[in-house]
Amino acid sequence: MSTLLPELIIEILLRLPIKSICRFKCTSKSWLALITHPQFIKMHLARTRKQKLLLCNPYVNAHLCLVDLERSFEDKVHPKVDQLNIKPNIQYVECICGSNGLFYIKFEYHDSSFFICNPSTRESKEILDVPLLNSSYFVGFGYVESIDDYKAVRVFNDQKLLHIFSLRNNSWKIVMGNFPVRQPSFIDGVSLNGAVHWGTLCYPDDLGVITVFDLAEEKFKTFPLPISNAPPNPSEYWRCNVYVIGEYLCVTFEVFINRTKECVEAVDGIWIMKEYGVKESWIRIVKSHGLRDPIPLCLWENDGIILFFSYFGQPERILCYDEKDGKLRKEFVIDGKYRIYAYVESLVSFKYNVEYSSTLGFLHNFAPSQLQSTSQIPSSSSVSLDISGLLTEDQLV
Amino acid sequence: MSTAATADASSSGDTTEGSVRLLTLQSEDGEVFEVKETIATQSVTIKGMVDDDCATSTIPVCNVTGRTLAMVIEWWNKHEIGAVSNEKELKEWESQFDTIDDKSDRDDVYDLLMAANYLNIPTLLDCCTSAVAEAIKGKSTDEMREFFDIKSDFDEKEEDALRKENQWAFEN
Repeated sequence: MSTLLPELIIEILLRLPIKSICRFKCTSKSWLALITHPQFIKMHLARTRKQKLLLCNPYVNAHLCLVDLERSFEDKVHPKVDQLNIKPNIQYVECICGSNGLFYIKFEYHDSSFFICNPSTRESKEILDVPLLNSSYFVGFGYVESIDDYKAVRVFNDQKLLHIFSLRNNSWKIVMGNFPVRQPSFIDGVSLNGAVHWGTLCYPDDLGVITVFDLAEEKFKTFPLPISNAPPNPSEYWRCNVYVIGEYLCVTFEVFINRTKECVEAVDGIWIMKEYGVKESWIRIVKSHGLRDPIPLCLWENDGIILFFSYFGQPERILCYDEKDGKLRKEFVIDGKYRIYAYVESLVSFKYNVEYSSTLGFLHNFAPSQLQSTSQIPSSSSVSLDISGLLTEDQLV
Repeated sequence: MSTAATADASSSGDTTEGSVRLLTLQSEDGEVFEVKETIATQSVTIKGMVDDDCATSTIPVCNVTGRTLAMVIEWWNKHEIGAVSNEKELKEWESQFDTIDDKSDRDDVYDLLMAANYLNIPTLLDCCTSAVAEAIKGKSTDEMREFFDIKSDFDEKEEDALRKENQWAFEN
């Protein structure tokens, strides 16, 4: 009987469902060290691209739950949902989808804390918050690869103030700043490539831009919309919503008043920015489905796009659209009204297991160069206000 | 277990059958196999030796027993590039790993895994690791320890805390 080499054990683990991997953390110290090792987590993230949905009911009977797409397409109706319990007896919940399967979750506007949560592993971490101003804000949360950090940003546009949270430093920073152009049309930003993106309201004489906040540089920039001229016979105004599917930024235009045929046809569908930040790379897809204003959630297998369709009076549907022939392949119906976010299953952890990191066991034998610890996020929670940037010129946007 | 081609231990390395060169492989326990070069080069390791002109004499395949090497060769024959592969037959052969429940099944797969790793045969590695993953995905931690011959080195308190932290992964 032979003993398996560590690299073979890793290959086996990488092929397991995430639930099994989490259970097997309890096998032994060396298995725990391996499964929670940042390098293993990265390998897992690169290999598995399992898409799931997080359903958020923010107000009535506020709750969060998780849905498996593959399984639900088989069930078709009443998909099995797993409750995601982070905090008991909640009245309200606000969810921002980050990168690598992580979410920013806040339960009360004036709560003194918020949560970072990985629904795939059910891991969540409560983080002390800074007191919020009595005004509305825009918010985003994302991963910055260059500094291996997760950051959240809140924009108080009226006060010209930004709250920036770094998970690595576990601290907030308050700096001055506001949107460079008009303020966006939507509170929640979407994150991609280390930046948060917000859509806009479009007017025939002022189409607006996509507002981008670079989380690494902590600066605003803008991307042009896919259309540079107002559509014929336009409405007084319409909305440009920003989403991320796969590795692509995409937008939809929602014409909700005075929907003239010409105007709707000119902007209808889903616009994808094939090359990030390149205006010329916008292309239009998903035109022939016959649904009004579906929300793109994620990519699916070959040429599939998962769409969320919600229209009052009708049940909420999740559909799989086939880009090859423009047909709707399969769907399931969701019970209730939700905000729906797609996330990729990941083992990303924010409470680095310091106590086990010194007992790496067989990790030491396995290609040490590949397994060097790359991130060590402090586990104690503390808020430090770094306002040193307040007066430096480069922070003034 | 049938072997693809068996020859005397005394046979020299470089022989040909038609225009196809035959390679001689010798297992750890001394069993000798003659295999077509076009088939054996599914192993990245052997392909490297052939490309470097180092495959002219008997190739020793250390760490791999004759019994396991015969299984590897069977795999090669079924996966030969350009061969009319019978999908059904292939699936059937692969399905012998669907249930790895008793120790002897497990040891067979282990041996194959180690051989696939040593000889660097990506398709076989993928098949075997997937088979093991399939076999263990529903196991409890105790069953895992038995399967992998691991002793838990957690004390009771540590294990309880960890289980509590990962409670959901233990629920059905």
